[in-house]
Amino acid sequence: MNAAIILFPGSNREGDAFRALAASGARPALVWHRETHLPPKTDLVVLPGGFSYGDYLRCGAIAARESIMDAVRAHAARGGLVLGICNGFQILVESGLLPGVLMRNAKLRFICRMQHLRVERNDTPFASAYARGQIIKVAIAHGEGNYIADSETIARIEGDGRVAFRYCGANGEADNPNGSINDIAGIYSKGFNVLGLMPHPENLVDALVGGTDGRGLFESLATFARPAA
Amino acid sequence: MICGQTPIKLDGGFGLRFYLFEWALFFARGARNVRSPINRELKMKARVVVTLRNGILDPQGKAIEGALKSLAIEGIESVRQGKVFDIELADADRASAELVLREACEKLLANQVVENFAVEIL
Repeated sequence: MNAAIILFPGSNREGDAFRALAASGARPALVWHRETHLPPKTDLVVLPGGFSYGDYLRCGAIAARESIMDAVRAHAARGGLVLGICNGFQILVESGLLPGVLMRNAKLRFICRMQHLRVERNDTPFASAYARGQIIKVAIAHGEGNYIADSETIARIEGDGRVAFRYCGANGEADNPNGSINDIAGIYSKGFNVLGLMPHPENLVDALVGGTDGRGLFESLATFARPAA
Repeated sequence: MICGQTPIKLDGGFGLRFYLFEWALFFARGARNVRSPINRELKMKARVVVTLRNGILDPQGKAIEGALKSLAIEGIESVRQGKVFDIELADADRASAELVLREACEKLLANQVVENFAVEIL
C-alpha cells in the first residue's frame, strides 16, 4: 500500500498520519501541494488535518482548488482510495469529492477532547479491521465539524449506507459534540473509496499516548490490496 | 504619541486642508481624463456580498444577536452574519465584469451548498 500524504501550507497532522500508516505496514510519502501529479503507483491519498491556508475564506476552500486536487480527483475517479481527516474532510467537501459542508460547531467552541464513535459498517477498505457497530474511542479537535447537507442529500447518504462513523457515548448512547446532522462523524463517497471524517484516528495508534482504537483504520487500509488503476 | 515629537493634528489643520486640496485636484483632472498626481486611475469596483441561505443555522449571527441584546440596544429582531468582498476589476466593461464576478462567486467566494451571493458594481 503506497500512500501519498498531501502537505498544504498549514497542515499539521501529516506527521501523525505518516507514523500511523508506517506502523501499519503501509509505505507513506509526503507530497508537497505544488506538485501536479501523485507519485507513481499511489494506492491511497491522505489529506491530513490542520489549518490549510489558515482556514481563510472557509475551512479547506483554498486547498480544495489547488492543482494537486485535480490529480486527487482523477485518482478517486479511477477508484483510488482517498482519506481526508479533519481539515482533510473539509477539503474533500469543498472539492466536491464528498457532498455536504462542515459548518461552525453548534456551540461555537473549538472542541478538543476524546470522543466515542460507532463504526457503522466494516465492509469497506477503511474499516475491515473493526467489527460492525463497534464503539471506538478517538480524539476530536475541530472548530468546524458540524456536518450539514440538504435533506435530499442526507436521505441519499443514509439510504446508501454511506455514513462511516457516528458520534456516540461510551455505551452507544447519544453524544453529539458539534451539532452534526444524524451524529455524522464521517462519510463515504458513492463508490466507498473516499472517506472523510472529523475525528483523528491517527492520534490513537500507540498505547503510550492514550489508546490504540485508531489503528484499525490504518490496518484496514494496509491490508487492502486493490491497485488504483 | 511618538516620543519627542509633536503629534500631527489633522482636524482642521494644514494637513487636512492639503489632503482635501489633493483630492480636489485629482477629481478635477479625472474629469478631463488625465492621470492623477498620486497615480491613481479610475477602475471599476465591485462589492460581492455572501450570505448564509435561509434555514441554515448561523450560530455566529445568533451570538452577535445575543450580545447586542445584552447591550440593551433595542429593536433588533435577528442578526445573520455574512462576508463582504471589495473587488477592483481590470475591465471597465460592466457586462463582462458581471460575468467574471459571477464565475468568481461560483468557483470560490461562495459555497452554494449553504451560501447565496449578490454582486454589485459600484
